[in-house]
Amino acid sequence: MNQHSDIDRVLSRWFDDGPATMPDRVVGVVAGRIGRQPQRRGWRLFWRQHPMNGYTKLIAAAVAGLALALVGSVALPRLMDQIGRARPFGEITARYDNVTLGLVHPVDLAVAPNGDIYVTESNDRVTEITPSGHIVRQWGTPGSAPGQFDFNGLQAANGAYASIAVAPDGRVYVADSDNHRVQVFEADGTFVRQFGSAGSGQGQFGLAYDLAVDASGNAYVLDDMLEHLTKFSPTGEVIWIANRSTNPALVGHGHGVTLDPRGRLVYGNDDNGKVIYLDTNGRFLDAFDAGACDASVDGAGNVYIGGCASADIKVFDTAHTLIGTWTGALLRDAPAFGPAGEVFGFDRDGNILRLQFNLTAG
Amino acid sequence: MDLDLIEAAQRGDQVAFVDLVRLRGDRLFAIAHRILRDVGWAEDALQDALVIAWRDLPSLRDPARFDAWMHRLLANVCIAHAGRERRRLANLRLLPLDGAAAPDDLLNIADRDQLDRAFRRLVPEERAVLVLRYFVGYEPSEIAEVLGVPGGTIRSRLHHALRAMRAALDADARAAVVGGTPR
Repeated sequence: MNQHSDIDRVLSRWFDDGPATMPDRVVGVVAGRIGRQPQRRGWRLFWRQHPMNGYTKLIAAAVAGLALALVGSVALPRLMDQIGRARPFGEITARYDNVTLGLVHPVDLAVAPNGDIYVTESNDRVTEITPSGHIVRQWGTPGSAPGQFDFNGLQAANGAYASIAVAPDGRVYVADSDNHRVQVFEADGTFVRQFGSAGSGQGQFGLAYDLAVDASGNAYVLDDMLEHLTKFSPTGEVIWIANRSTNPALVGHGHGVTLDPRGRLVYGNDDNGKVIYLDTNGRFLDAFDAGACDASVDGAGNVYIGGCASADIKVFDTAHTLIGTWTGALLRDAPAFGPAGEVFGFDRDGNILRLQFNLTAG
Repeated sequence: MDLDLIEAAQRGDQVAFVDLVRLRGDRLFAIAHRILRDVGWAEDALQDALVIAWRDLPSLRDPARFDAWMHRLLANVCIAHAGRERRRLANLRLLPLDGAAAPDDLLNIADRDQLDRAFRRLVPEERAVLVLRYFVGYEPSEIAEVLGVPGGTIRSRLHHALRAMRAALDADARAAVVGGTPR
């Protein structure tokens, strides 16, 4: 049994078996097929190799240039306007070193109503930190009892999954991913309740990936494995499930669910890059293309897009217009917003960054 | 890295491309075979991927990225082939892997059989991710880049696939403990 604990080694060993030599006939078949298959060539190669003489090419280039100038005179002012509006707007105002704080591979963070930050760590722990970067308290150990967590059920190399959200009443909700449940705590870490179990049935989790909580204590949990969003009542009962079968627009993996100021659910679909809006009854309302992976929403309803190895943070206004791009922000995910306008995020090394966005500058 | 060959093939040199196929073919065939678990299908997929590579090679901007580009092409072709074969074989009994290796310290024949069955049950995209991770050796972020798929999607595919593979092995172990005979 122990020999199976290291699935990495088992799979590497298993894949090493099997044929390692390409049959000789493949080369012959491919040589024959490419002889009948012309290559696709870009316009540069087309231009270089086209049999037109130099004089004809010059005229063709001039005509193309005139056409471009005509189009440009109309499109350029709008383009310049977009570029001007999309200039960097983000700023790091403080950086809290995760090593100095004693954090162990921080996974997710959420901002509480009092401005404190709650951080999940891959060592199955939750840490509360003040806005100025001082640790208030920590709780959690590995295990499956109430107040214990398992964020690394498979292997740390593939990342821990430990989404966290803080409700308007200050209660802390933690997606205890490999225990297939969500645990609810008072702000001081006292265990309140839990809901969910392993499986694919109603109220069960494959991989509880992201969650949000509304003012009434309803929790919205995105399951990355089952690819659906479930609304749970304050007592942990399933109210609805939204997925591709309830609306084809919901196909794919959702990340970064949150509530906007109008009470709509907002999340990014990292399969098709769309930002999805649902009402709190699970009905599809709206979607727009944003190259979305992880999404968050500020107090004005602007949507921030980040994550999935992108170095940039993009922000779209409520009309879905790109109004800012923070190029090279190097945040790990979309930033997290607090109720009083606080903004925090992680850098790529897991350090906590206090951020400031000045959208009027953009 | 055979940049000269790649650049010559980009310019339309068929001989250079065939030389490239000879140099890279074994590794590419091995990847296709690990994803598809069948020599014939792997051969078909590799041929298709190489013809597409020939056709689209002029569009490869950085010849130094040839291997990653080729892996993406091959993985996508294998995924397409596997999807077709899954539908075709949905009601057929799964046969042991071609040329199954002899037992060793880490894996016995029953383990291999369980792994093979579990692997064949994965969706093709998950199979490709496992092969790129554990056979080719890419990190999850590199797989995302190679396949052009968001990192979150790769992580969740990996998570699901590993869970399935581990469950297969654990089921095998449980059967052995209670005296059952793994099928």
